[in-house]
Amino acid sequence: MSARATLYTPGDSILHRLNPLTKVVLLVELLIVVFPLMNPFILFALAGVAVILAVLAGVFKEFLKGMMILVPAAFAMAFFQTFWPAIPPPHRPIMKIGPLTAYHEGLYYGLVFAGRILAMGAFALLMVQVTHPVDLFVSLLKIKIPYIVGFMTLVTLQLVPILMKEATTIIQAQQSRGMKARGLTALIPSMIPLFASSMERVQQLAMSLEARAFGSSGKKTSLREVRMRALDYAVIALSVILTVASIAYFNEHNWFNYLRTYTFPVELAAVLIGTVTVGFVGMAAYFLVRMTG
Amino acid sequence: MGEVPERIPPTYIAVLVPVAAAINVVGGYIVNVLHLPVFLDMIGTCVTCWVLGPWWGVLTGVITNLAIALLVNPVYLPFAACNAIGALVWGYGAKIGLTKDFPRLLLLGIISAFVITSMAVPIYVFVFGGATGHFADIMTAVYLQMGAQLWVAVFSSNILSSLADKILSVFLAVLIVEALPPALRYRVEITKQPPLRVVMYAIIGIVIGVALAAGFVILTAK
Repeated sequence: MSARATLYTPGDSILHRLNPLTKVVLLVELLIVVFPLMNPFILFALAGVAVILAVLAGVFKEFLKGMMILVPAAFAMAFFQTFWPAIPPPHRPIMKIGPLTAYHEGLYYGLVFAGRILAMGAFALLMVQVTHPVDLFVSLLKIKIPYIVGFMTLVTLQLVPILMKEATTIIQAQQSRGMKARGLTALIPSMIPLFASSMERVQQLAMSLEARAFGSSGKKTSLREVRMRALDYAVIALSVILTVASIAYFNEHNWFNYLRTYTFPVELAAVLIGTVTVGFVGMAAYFLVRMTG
Repeated sequence: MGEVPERIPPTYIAVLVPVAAAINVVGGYIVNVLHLPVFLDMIGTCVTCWVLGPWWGVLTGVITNLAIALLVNPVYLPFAACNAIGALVWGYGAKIGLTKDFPRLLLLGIISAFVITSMAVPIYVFVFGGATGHFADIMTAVYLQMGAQLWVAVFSSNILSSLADKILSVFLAVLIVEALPPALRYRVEITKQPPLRVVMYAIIGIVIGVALAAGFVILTAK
């Protein structure tokens, strides 16, 4: 995690200029369509569409960084399902690796899970990247989200980079006094100074809020103005039609579910199972090495 | 207690909740730097639900996950439910006196670990196909190979890190509450911080015990 405030990446693309509420509507519609989809090829293609959109919006570098966090989870998902499918039998075996047996249904289902989380994660990440957090909360206030919730979330977002910087300084200072910067023994010397300074911050912030008449009942205004434009209404109308149409289309084709019938070609299966296994074992090794030092 | 109850000023609430949420997020950052196999992303929630009340803790949890959604990736938003349910357990646990002494606090940590994991497992299984992208996945694979169902394996592996995590969080929250101004903390009766070594031994004992018990249950049920 960097010291940057949020994932928001400034830019001037159409996605940046849409109203935050429009983007929330688009995202919700997308999740409704993606969740029941049972076809890994369509799901990975959707994730690909998000990647292209990220490139077009000029936020690709940060996008990639955000998506990397999901990769270990995606490997683990595909690995679990391939060897221990969480669906009722029958399971058709593909091959054996040591004591483990891989199944066609499992590999298919695992890829569905991995594709689903990558597609959902990609679009959600993109939405956050092209939306200024203040704009998001200003527009949420317009649909009657309590002011205090928006205020507290924005203060949290501002505090996180400050506290992270402080935590880094504290850990470095303790290291210079001879603390070993890993393991449980380092936890208390790292946490306590941070707690102490945070509590001091509570007092200071409370006083400054008091001095600025925080509790007054007058109408509150925001520095940034957000309004719905013709483009937003057009995009929402179009997306609703598209969503309904695609739900009808997918439903007619049983959400392209080939779980019980699809047989992976041997070479493709070998490549996929190899990738998934190496990915998972690599991740497990990484965690074990980190934990044991 | 016995003192005349006085209202906590709204400005303090408006500030304590975001600072607690920020501590949640930064706690996750610190364990990452120190290479620890826990999360520690609920310490702030624990503080607000004791000091301000369970429902302010729920708000802290929700705001924490909103912030994580805007900082890391929005797919983690469903875990707001875990942070919220943890706040309710800790908040009402404090109200019925489970924070008065060391053994009760330990019990509160264990109860919360089980409740929060029960909330997290459906999310892991339905959204993430049983994966967490964390160290817990290694144990999940082990339990799966021993013949457990997916949700049993996910629960058994996640309860281990959750136990260590929640017990540690509860005792670190005690430290923060001790550091708060008296006007904020007079409503909740909380034990003095015990030596951390004792807490560590308790955690290690409980985690190993539960890991063996889970393995035994899975093997006999097979």
